[in-house]
Amino acid sequence: MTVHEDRLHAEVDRELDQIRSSCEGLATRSGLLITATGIAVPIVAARLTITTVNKLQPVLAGALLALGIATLLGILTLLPSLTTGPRASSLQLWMSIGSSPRTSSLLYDAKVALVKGGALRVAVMQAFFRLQALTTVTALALGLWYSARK
Amino acid sequence: MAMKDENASTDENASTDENARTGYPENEVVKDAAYFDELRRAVKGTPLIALFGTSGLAVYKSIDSAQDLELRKQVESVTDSNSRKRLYKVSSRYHFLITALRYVTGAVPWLSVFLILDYVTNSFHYPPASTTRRIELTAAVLAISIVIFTLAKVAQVILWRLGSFTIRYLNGMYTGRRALSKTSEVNHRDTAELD
Repeated sequence: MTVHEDRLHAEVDRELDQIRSSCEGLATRSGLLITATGIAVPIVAARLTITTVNKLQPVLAGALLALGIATLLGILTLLPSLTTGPRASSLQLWMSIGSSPRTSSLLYDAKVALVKGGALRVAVMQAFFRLQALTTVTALALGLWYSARK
Repeated sequence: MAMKDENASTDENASTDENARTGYPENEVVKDAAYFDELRRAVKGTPLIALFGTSGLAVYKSIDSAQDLELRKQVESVTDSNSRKRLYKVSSRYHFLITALRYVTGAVPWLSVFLILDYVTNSFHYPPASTTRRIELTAAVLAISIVIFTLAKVAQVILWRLGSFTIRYLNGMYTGRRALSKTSEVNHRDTAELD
């Protein structure tokens, strides 16, 4: 393997690592938001059943719905698993075949394809997380509005 | 030893012939159908439901695009006019079919959005009387909409995989299990060249 190829492989490895850490960071933040909404849902639901002011019922219902949507988006953010490299069986096969430009090229192309898939996955996760944060803030605003008007 | 030399010489001649036919430089990797089949096998295993198959689909799409690009590159580099004509035919057919498949499969999630909108409109045709009923209905509609969209995305991934396989199979670009032996054969040839 030439120095040029070595550098390219190192760069692809760095990008795969970055994708993995980005996914982990998003998953942690999303998990924290899920915990917060999970605590808030029973409180809002209980308040909705005992509230007597009819005009404020839709506000609480809206807050509950926003919390539900935020929880769902959080679950969607956490759902996927990540493929960070070629299959072990393929790696084993390429090793058994021996050193050649073809196996080196196969390894590089497989990693590049996974980088493309991973980058898209991070983008979708980010979109889901932003929507989750937005719906949580909406629920919070509705809750505060309810408290002020009560 | 003499026999080994003789084999190496035959391999070398075969390699030179292959390179002359394809117009590839001596040490460049020939990215044929077997190569891409092996590549697909290497990245296989991305879960179908992972983000509704989005990341897995991107991986397979990028491999199909790379194969398309490689075919076009090969057409330009082939010197023999008969081979060039034959390769050009395969390349343009593959390019057209893969592009068509991209548009067809891309439409699947959008069709599900129309289905969801129709479902939502029907569900709220008669608004529920109480707030509790409204919340229940909204939650149910939301859950069913997500299920419909998820199924559409999974269908998109399956359609892509089946479509891509059919296109490759019909164009004689699917090597199947032979890919392994072909890869191994080419690698032995490359190793012999290095020796």
